[in-house]
Amino acid sequence: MSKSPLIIAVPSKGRLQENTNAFFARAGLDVARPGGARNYRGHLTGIDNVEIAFLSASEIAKELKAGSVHLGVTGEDLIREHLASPESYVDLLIKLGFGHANVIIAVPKAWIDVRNMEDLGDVAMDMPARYGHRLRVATKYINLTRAFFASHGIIDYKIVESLGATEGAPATGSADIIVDITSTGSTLEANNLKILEDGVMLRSEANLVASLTADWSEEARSALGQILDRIQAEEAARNRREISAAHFDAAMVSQQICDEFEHEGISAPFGHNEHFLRLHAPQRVVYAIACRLRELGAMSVSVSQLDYIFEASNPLFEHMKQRLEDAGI
Amino acid sequence: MPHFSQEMRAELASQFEAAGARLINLPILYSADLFVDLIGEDIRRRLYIADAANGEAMALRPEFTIPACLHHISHGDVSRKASYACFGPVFRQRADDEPGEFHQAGIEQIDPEGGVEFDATSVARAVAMVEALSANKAIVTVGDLGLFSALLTALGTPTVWQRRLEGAFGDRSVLDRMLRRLEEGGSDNHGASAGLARILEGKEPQDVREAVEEMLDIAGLSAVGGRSVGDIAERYMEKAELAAMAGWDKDKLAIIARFLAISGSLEESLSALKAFNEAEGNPLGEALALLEQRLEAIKAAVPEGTKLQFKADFGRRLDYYSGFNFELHFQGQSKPVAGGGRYDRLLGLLANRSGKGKEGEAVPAIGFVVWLDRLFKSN
Repeated sequence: MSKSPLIIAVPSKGRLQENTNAFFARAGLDVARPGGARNYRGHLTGIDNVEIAFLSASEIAKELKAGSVHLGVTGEDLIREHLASPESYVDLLIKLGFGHANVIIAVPKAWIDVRNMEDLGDVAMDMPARYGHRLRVATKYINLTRAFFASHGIIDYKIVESLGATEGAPATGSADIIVDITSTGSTLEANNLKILEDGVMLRSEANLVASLTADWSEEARSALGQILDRIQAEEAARNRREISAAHFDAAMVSQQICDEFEHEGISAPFGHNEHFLRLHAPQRVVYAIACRLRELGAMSVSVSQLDYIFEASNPLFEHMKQRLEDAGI
Repeated sequence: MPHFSQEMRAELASQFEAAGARLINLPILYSADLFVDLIGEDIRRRLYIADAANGEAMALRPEFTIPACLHHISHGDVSRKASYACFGPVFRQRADDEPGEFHQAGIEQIDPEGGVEFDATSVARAVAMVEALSANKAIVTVGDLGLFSALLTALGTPTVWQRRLEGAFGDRSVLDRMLRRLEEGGSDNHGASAGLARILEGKEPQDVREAVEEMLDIAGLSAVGGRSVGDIAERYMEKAELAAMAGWDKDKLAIIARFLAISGSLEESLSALKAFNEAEGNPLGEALALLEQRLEAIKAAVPEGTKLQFKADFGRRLDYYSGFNFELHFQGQSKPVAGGGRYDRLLGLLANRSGKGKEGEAVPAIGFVVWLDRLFKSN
């Protein structure tokens, strides 16, 4: 390994890890973990100067803030919980489409008088006089909870820190209500809790996050550029299809199709040529285009999937370079 | 941290002496729960907290009032007369670039008599201290929760709503949101709630509670968290009734809005309050007479030429503040340079915590604090 590698923190176990590996694999990058699950360091096959650190998702958020890793895969919930002002420490580069979960506020179902935050505000104000203590909220999301309650003007509450089995807190009597993460709601159901109508505090998913506080050496930047280039090429290709057809006036038909489907995001990356047309379009309009081409006289239209589209410019990398420049790095 | 010259220290000392306040040396370290319980969860993110070896979270003091009152309680009878001077660093994490350690100076007074002179003296001392230290004249804003409470009582506000509206007083946006909700009759499902309310209308509270208990039982919901079924039933009915009425009496809400809009110089506000009171059939009653006395006392106590203004909606949204509040700021600056108010509930709450008194016991107390760093910034 060279002297200042790019360090990527990825979840060390579970479904998050599998999904993260799959994400990198799609971009042609394999997360190698020599020695198996016991090893906490690995590398990315195919790119030099990259080191992988296997950490827990919440550690990843903290390490990104501290700048001890350059990139990390972790949930937006953890970023927003552990970093008071995320924008000054990290950049949420890409939403990854997995690890979906909501941070929600839930109350006992028996509270039939409480449906939304306004109701909860009333109850919170009534509690000290009735019970001699404030409304107790069990959660590990202390910062998110504070910000959310403040935005609803609720001040009469107390957070009871809970690092596990939060949903059980109302039943055991250690708290009145909870703020927790849920993906299906089944645990809440099992504990006779209901989510308030306006009680979704954050819709979270896994993100590829870049640290703005890390040491961005030349090597690290160059490795980042390569990784983002591949990720971007795969992303750009994922939902696009290549449409090919022969036509005696291909240049004219190609131009006409491009005009007709202009707003659908169609492109002719290789220009309008005679005899043969080749277009790129989002998957959802492929059939419409194929129909139109045949109406215009094409005998056969073939559509194929694309693995990568490498463009001259890389907006993701440009964006990241700008962020680093703004942060004075 | 600002540098305090010998002259400034001497000036503070003479201010304290003139006020008959004894300088007390307060600890810097307290249990974090003390502040969180009394001020609210939101103070926690402002505190500098470190964990003690026994696991208790300890905080650097974020203010003087609670520490001074603890000092008072631990040195004798709760309701004895006292006047304490406080000076030194307090610690609070602040949103902007202001340092987390800054100096404050203030005077906390306890007096079982607690009349209007008591309040006026506190205002006058705050004004004197700010002027002596900064050579700058401040504008004084005063407000009184007592007046708002009197109005709500006179309008026949249901007890729960009286408590909630009083609890929101001091934060205009929260108060306005609550009033809007009263006007609209709540925000959700008027239909179902209103229907149930009609069924249960006129029933005895006991019957309503039993009906709700039965409902919960049928649904298999025995766990109610930290609330009683009676409480849930009561609030359910209250909400349903509000929805059934499709909101609160519009006239009453209009009266409240007119009251909250009153502000201006003391003379202007007093005559506006009197005109309002007359037009609405004397809802402010005794409280208005008391306010007039208090304002007269303040006018007489402060140096001539001090700019005084009244705001009907001015207050502090803190449990233990019990009515009269004031604030000093310099022309053109948004942040106050001094603030104070009556906190008659605090000593009772603290005494109860340390097992030395009864919860509800009110002990007249007033205090103010000067933000020394803001004074010097303006120089």
